[in-house]
Amino acid sequence: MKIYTCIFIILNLLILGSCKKVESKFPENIGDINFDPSLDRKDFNLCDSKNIVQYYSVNTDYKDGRKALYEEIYDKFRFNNDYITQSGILTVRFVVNCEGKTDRFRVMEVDKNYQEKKFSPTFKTYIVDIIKSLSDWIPGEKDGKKYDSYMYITMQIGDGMIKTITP
Amino acid sequence: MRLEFFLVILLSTLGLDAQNCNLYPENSPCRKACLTLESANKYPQGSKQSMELCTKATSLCPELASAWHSLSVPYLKRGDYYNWRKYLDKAVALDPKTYLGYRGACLFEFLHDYESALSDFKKLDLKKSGHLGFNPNGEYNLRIQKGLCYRELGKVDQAISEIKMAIDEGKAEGGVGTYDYLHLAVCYMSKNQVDSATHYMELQLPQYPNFPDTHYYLGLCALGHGDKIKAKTYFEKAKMLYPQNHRKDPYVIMPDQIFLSDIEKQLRSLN
Repeated sequence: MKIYTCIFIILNLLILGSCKKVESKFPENIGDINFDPSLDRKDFNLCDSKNIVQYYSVNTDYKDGRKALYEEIYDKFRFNNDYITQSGILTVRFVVNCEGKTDRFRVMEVDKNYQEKKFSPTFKTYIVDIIKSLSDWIPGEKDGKKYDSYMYITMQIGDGMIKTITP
Repeated sequence: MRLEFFLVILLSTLGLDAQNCNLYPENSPCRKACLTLESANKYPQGSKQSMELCTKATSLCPELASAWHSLSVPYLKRGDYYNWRKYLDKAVALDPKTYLGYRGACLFEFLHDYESALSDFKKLDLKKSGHLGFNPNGEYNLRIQKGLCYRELGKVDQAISEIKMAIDEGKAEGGVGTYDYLHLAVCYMSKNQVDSATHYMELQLPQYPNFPDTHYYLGLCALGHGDKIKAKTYFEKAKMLYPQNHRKDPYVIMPDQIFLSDIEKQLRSLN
C-alpha cells in the first residue's frame, strides 16, 4: 500500500512539474516600461500603475500642440562637433503621468536601415536630458478622466544634427 | 458610385488583415493559423495574449503574411522600429502587393523617411497597374503620398505629376481625396506659383468647407497676391474654424497640417 502511495505522489509531482508555466517572451503589453530603481525616480507618482495607456488612446498632448513640442526640442538642441559621427534613428519612450509629469525614460536606437545600432552614450544622455526638460505636457484624458500614458519622440539624426522629429 | 468608392476604402484599410479562413484547406496548418490569428483579435492589440496567438499563427503557417503584419503593428505604435521592421519585412516579402504600400505609408507618416517610403511606392507601382491603394486610415490614395515624398525630396514637378494622376484616379472612382487639392496647391506654393496654388486651393474648399487649413493657405495665397485685407479675412476664418475642425490624427502630424500658432503668427504679422 505504501509503495502505491509513493508512486501516486511521484506521478503527481511529475505532472505538476510538466505543467509549470512557460515564461512568455512578451511583456503584459508591448512597450511596457517597468520601474527600475537604478534609472527611475521613486517620487514619480502614477494614478494607476496597472493601467498606463498609449498616448494615442487618450490624446496626450503638449501645450500649443505637438508642433510646439518639436520646436522646443529644436530650440534646445545645440550642435557639438563631438556628435558629428552620430547618425540613425533615436527614439525616447517615457511616461507622462496623470499630472503631466514625466519619467521612466528609455532609448531605442536603429540605423537608417532599421538595424540595431548604438549611439554614443554622451549623445543619448544629451538627447534624453532635452526630453526630460520638456515641462508643458497635457496628460491624456478620456471621458473626463486623466490617465498615465506612454509617449515617445523619434528623431532622425544625421551627422550629429536632428533632421526630423516625429511622430 | 460614391458608395462603392468608400466601400473600397473601408475594405482596403480596416480589412487589411481580415481574411476568409475558408480559403485554406480544412484542417490544414494555414487554416488553423488563420483561425488562431482571428482569435488574437479578441485581445487588446499588443497584449501578451494577442502577441502569443499571433506568434502561434506564424509557427503554424510561416507563409501567412497577415500574421507577421499583426505582430509588427504594436511595435510601430510604440516607436520600436527595429522589431516593427523585423516582422513587417516578412509580411512584405510574402505578400508585397498587400504590404509594400502599407509599409511605405507608415514610413511616410510615422518616420518622415521619404526615401524609403518612395522606394516602396515605386516598387508597388511596378507590381500594380493603376491605383496603388490607400494608406492605413483610408484618407490618402498612396499615390498622393508618393507625390509628397517627391516634394519633400525637392522634386516638386514629379510631385505635382503624381498628385494630379492620383486626383484623376479619384475622379474616375467617384471621389477626389479629402486633402488632395490642398497638397497639390501647397506644391505650387513651394514653386511660388501663386495663381495655380490659389486655383487648386479654391477647388479644395468645397471638399471640406470648414477645414481651417484651407482658409489658412488661401490667406497665404492672398498675401502672395499682395492682398492683406483678403488674407486677414481668411486667417480670421481659419482661426474661427480651428477649435472644432482642426486636424488631429491620434498618431502623427499629417502633411501640411497647420496649428493654431501658425494662424496666430500670420494674424500678428498683419496687425
